[in-house]
Amino acid sequence: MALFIYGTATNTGKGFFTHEDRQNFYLSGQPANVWVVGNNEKGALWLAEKNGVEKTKTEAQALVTAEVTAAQEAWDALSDEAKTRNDRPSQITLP
Amino acid sequence: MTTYKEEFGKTIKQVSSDPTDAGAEGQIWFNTTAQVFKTVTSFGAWSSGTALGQVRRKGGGTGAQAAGMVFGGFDAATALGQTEQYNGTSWTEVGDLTTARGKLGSATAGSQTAALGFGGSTAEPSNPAIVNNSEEYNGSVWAEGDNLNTARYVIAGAGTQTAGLGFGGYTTSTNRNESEEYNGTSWAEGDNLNTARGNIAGGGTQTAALGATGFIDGGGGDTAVTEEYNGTSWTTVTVCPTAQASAILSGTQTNAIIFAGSPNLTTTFGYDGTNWSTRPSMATGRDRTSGFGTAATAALCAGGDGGTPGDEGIGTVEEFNTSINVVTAASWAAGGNLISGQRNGVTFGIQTSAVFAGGHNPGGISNNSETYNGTSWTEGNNLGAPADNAASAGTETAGVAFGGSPPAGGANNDTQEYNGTDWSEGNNLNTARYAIGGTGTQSAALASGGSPPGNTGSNLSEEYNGTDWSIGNTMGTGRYKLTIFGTQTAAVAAGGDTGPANVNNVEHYDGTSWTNATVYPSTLTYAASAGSQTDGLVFLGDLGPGYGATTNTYNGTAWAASATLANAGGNTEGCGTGALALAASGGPQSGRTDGAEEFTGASTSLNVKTLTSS
Repeated sequence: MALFIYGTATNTGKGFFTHEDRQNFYLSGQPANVWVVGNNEKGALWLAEKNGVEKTKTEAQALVTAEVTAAQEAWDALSDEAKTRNDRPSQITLP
Repeated sequence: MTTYKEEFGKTIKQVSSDPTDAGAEGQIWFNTTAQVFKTVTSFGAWSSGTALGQVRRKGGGTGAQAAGMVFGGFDAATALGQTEQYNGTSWTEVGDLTTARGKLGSATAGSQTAALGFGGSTAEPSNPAIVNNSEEYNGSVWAEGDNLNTARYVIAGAGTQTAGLGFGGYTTSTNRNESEEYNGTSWAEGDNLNTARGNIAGGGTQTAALGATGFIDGGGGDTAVTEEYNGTSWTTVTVCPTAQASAILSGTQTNAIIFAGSPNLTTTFGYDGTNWSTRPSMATGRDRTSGFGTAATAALCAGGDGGTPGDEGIGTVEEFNTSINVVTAASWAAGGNLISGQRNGVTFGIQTSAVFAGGHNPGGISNNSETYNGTSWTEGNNLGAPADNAASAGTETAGVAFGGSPPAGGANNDTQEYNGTDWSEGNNLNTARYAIGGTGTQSAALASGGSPPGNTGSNLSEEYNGTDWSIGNTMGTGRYKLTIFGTQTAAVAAGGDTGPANVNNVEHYDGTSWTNATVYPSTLTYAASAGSQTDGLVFLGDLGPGYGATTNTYNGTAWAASATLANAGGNTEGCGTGALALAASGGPQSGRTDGAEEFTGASTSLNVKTLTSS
């Protein structure tokens, strides 16, 4: 069985994931509203309850890569002064 | 019908909320709010301990979990004389047995300064060279004691150096049922076991001993037979749930646990003087170990056979402990989404009463300001001047933001004070800097590090008294993009960028001078922090390369990994305490910046259980 399930869901703020959720399953938010969720009953239920759209790992990775690439291009286009405000985004490999 | 009061001498109390003190262990109460009976129960668990210095199997053991010792045994076919003592943390080698041997018996209730080992074999595995001598340990050296009347190996033991008991075992291919009592000088015959056998798990005292399970040579195999000794005679009692041999017993005749039986069992059972019950299992199946322990609540299992064919012995250790407390791990949960979050804004206040202001987004540097009530963010009055990469201190009703970058670029020395409603201009910093670190209160703030225009790490420190900034002593390492937490007189500065390189340096400030402290686990820039110098935490940040979701707690001396956030990121300050912190906005290196997460530190509570009739 795969360790994780992947999906997109919009973080609605307070209560979107609770302390209890964090004790119950792995959860990692990524760019493009991608979420990596521990593959157990409670993790799957959480994604469903958040109206999440399940993705394959490949699909999720493509969404993240596209978002980071766009952010990198935006950062590269900044002035040298503006570039000092935060570091250049680096690509992310989903677990 | 017998009442609870008649049985236990007190009545069941009615309470509206559950007790929280350890004195509740074993009590029963009626919770009038939930309308249920409740109690506090203890539970046990095995955890890994420090490995032995000498791999060994079939050795002896005595003493309490955190003050015990192992001696003798075999490393492959080599008989050992080595003795090691455990203090709960580490093993120390002490004097060797006079006669190196394994499969020996131990006075299991002995101590590190008064141990007794007897019988055993000086050869392994076949045609054992059985010995009858006993040895006494006085805390320094082993010395010869009186000889057993019957030489034997895999003999079980109980009692102390001056009131010891040996029973069962084998002479070559013969099960023994004799028991012998030692008075510190000589061995005398005791009553015979009802079931002759070897490899018995022994424990308790000379006059209240317990001998459980074992192996009956000649075809009988593993047995679950259990017997109790009262100093005069052996009585067969309730059998152990699993037939096994070579196990270890820790505790007394009426409160013991048995573990590490053959063949490589992980099972643990408890005995209350009448019945057996299941306890949590060990992580590693093993037998023929050198375990010890004088209580059912605290035992240690060291070395043994690891279960691999051809195994010559292992050195790993597991410890059994019980507790009435449940530990809830630290975690981050979603907070309310900001209305308009930015990167590199300032955050001050506490988890349920905070302010986020300034920062930048693709549209430029912001003067936006929002307040948080622990649930949702509310738009507040804007900063007097937009600021990016500034620092802050204080509370939601008395805050201060200083330094940073203005929209025109470079660094500024602005100070802006917040009273819970409006921002107003304060007196300027002496030196303009951005990516500066800040902490403290509105009337006792600290501004350290940062960079003047040109991306060079500054070591300047300034103190604010609510009116003016004054120059403090410089940091040892000049840097910007650092994070600072604590107070003006007890602060911690972590990480940052010196200009040429990101660093993991950590320094303490005592209100007068900076001193080096334990470095952060990685290089770190644009991280957030919260708490005090002795109960703080650092989270998020560029861990080089890439933004992370890690949290490390700090106790004034050491860093320890804690819960990870759900979202990696950085470029935010963080606020709150070491137990209740807030990470607001900043956000991941790409994507949305309006998220917030709330940290709750680890907590301990009583293991309260509701009583049911089923």
